[in-house]
Amino acid sequence: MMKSREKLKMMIVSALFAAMTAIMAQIEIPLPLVPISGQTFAVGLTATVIGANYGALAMILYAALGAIGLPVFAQFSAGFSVIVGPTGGYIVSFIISAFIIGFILERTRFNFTMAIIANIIGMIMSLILGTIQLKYVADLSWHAAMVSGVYPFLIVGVIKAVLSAVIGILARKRLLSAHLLS
Amino acid sequence: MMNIIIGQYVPGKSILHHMDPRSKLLAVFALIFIVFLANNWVTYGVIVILTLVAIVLSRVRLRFIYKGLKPILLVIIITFVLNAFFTKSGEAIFDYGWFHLTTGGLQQAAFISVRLLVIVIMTTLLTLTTTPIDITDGLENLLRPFKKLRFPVHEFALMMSIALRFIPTLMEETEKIMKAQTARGVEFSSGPLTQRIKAILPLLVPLFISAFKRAEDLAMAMEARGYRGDIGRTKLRLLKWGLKDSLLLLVVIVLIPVLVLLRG
Repeated sequence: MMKSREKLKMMIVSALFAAMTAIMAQIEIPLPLVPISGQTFAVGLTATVIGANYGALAMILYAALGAIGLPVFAQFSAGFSVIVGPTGGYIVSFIISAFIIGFILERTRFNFTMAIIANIIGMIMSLILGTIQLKYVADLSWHAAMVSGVYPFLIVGVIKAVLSAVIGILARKRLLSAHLLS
Repeated sequence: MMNIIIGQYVPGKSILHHMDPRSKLLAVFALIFIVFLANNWVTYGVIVILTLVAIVLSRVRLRFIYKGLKPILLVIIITFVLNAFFTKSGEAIFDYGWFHLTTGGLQQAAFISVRLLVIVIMTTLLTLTTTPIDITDGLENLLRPFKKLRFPVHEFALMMSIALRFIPTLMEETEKIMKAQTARGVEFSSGPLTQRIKAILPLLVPLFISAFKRAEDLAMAMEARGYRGDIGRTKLRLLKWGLKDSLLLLVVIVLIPVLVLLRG
């Protein structure tokens, strides 16, 4: 009985993290050149806090929410068209990226150093996978795809990865000490 | 806020609005792949006409379709330009140093832009004429066969509904926490960047804690009401498959051999 309720609880937690990702994706810190959106930040954060399986689950839900027409992707865009469109690979890659981040942390330790490493690996994976879809859907050359899909986001991506790692570990510690997460 | 709950859905009474979400989902999913069959002016023409017919049938104002297109319009333009200038085939129209524009390149660019446009318009029409909750129900129903493969279809639909239900609640909560922390002296919208980043923690930690508590309460409440997964569960909203749904699928199926015959 207890075990099934714990599972149900974590399923609901994943759903709520999907909802929070949807909200955070709308927050944007304006910066010169590339603005920081909360979307990728929320991916790393979710995985760092709730781990590989539930983190990936939350991201599947997030992608599905957008696919069925809720304006949950960055800049209130939505619809299945975004997922099959040129930039859809980045959204699908969040699922894999969240899983990898969670997986690395579960196999090692949930501490700052590992979280930063895991988040940076996850971020790079996400950029690569997203760019592959960009290349094929928009029929670009590899070079053109890299120029428009990878290079502009690298530095900001690293900053966001470090942020989500640090904040994720801090939040996780509080949740553990409040006995809300086991 | 209302916007985020109903999504892109535009209420209406058109034939597309009244169709079963399952038939619309199947049709759109098939069309995404079928569009790739087109490779010359005739086949692209067929697809464009079909898209225009769908737009007319939906009786949705063009403004809403444009809204769905807007986020990827720039991408389509970039795709057009890159394809136009990097494909070298056919006669040269224009040649200057790095830039060369050929008839083949222009045609290629036009085809790919139309393909993207059609995919976006079709999927936008689906979400414009179907509520998110209907799409969730339709998906749950369509994915039923995957239950045999132990894919948790029901649980997935349940989590979707929970996420849908709680987005407005969590937004409200975020605002509340921001106000409470502002009253305690946290700066969210002004001050240097480092300070604003530091303000994220006192916002997120209470938000996460309340999310976990909410999940615990909800799990307990569901179990107390006898929730055991989809065993013995009944539905409030029932899906109804009609003649027009069968017709829609028939059109899509007929389209495949037509395009295969017409393509060059």
